[in-house]
Amino acid sequence: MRILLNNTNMKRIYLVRHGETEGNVKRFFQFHDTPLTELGHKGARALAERFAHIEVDTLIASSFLRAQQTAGYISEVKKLQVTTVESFHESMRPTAQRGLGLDSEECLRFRAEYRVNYWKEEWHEEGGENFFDVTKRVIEGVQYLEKCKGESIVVVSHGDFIRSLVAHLLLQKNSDVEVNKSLFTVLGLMSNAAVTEFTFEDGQWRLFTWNDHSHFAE
Amino acid sequence: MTSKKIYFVRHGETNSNLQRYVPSKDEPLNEHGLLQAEQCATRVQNIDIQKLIVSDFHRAQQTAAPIAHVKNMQMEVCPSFGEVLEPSSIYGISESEESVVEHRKNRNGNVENPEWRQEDGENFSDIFARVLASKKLLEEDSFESILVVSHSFFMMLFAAAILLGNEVPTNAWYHVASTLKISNTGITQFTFEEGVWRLVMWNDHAHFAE
Repeated sequence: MRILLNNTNMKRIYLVRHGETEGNVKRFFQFHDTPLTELGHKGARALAERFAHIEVDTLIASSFLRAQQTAGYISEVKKLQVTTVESFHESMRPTAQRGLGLDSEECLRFRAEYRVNYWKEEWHEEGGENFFDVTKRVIEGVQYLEKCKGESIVVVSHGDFIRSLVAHLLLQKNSDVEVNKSLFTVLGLMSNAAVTEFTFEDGQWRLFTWNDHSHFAE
Repeated sequence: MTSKKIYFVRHGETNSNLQRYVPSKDEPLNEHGLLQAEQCATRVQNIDIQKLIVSDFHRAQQTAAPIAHVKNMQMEVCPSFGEVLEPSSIYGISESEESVVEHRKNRNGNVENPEWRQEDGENFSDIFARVLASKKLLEEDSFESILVVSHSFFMMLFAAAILLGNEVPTNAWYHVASTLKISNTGITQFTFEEGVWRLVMWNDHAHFAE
């Protein structure tokens, strides 16, 4: 006898990183309007096809163009409207750094400073977010998902932001700066157009899949 | 130094998974589990694997057998990757029975007191030592691509140890492990490069796109 494992209390949440962008390829800090590349469109289309046989009742995306473009393909396949939720946008870099080449000398200096400053609650530079600012948005996002009526929810978001969200849900009350640093290193960034899946059941979040990029064995 | 790739596969389905009772080391795969093991071997066929490690549990060895076959390699039995052992007095007993519920409540409630032990079951001190020994063993192995066939609770604790680093209180370790979830024959991938571990993928279960 096969026991029925489907529990009606259980929500599934699929966190998707947008497809490849110019910024990913040419390595510069992106702004909200960086578009997908041709390969990024292709990856997003393939990803949408992977959802064809999965029940999805709610489709959410950040307001950034690359997330909206990626969600567009899922929207077509699943015949679902995209709900834009501000909380899920990428961690913001200081305005002065946007568009800078990641490997330029100026930027390397900035990145070294940023790696230290990011973890300081008192650190603020115009337009930029530190760890505590991002965590605030992560908590908003999590609360949104917990209250959301959907039972199978797709959220199209961003590499840094999803990693912060995963770290938050795994650590919960054990969260502190040092342990988050360890988690950030071990997790790295999700691949473009990859999927991370959580379940939410009886008030408990559990990570079911991290960075499923499906074609790893091909 | 090159990047070492380490894959973990959880064993296929057993009747104890399906009917939710406590398995012994000898619990075999059921029919569906045997099929999953075959499918898993097909999935890993194109991955470069230089070494195949398996726990000393029957269900892990049955899962590794088709992989050993398609890759034409020997399996190396390594007991440190075995499942967390529960007292033998509760083998075969349903997870909803009082004796099992009580044992698990006591064990998990004693995570800050890792020497607490019931009968011949493993305590957290044994388990954490085993996870760290397994991690060291993989770090020191000279092969660059290793696949380990192991078990759910062990893999959750192993992944939590990697995520948190070694210097964490045992209750945080246990807590993070219990926020993970895993499928039969799900594939997990780590890399280890210049002393740094990364979790590339957790529980890719291929059902996602089917």
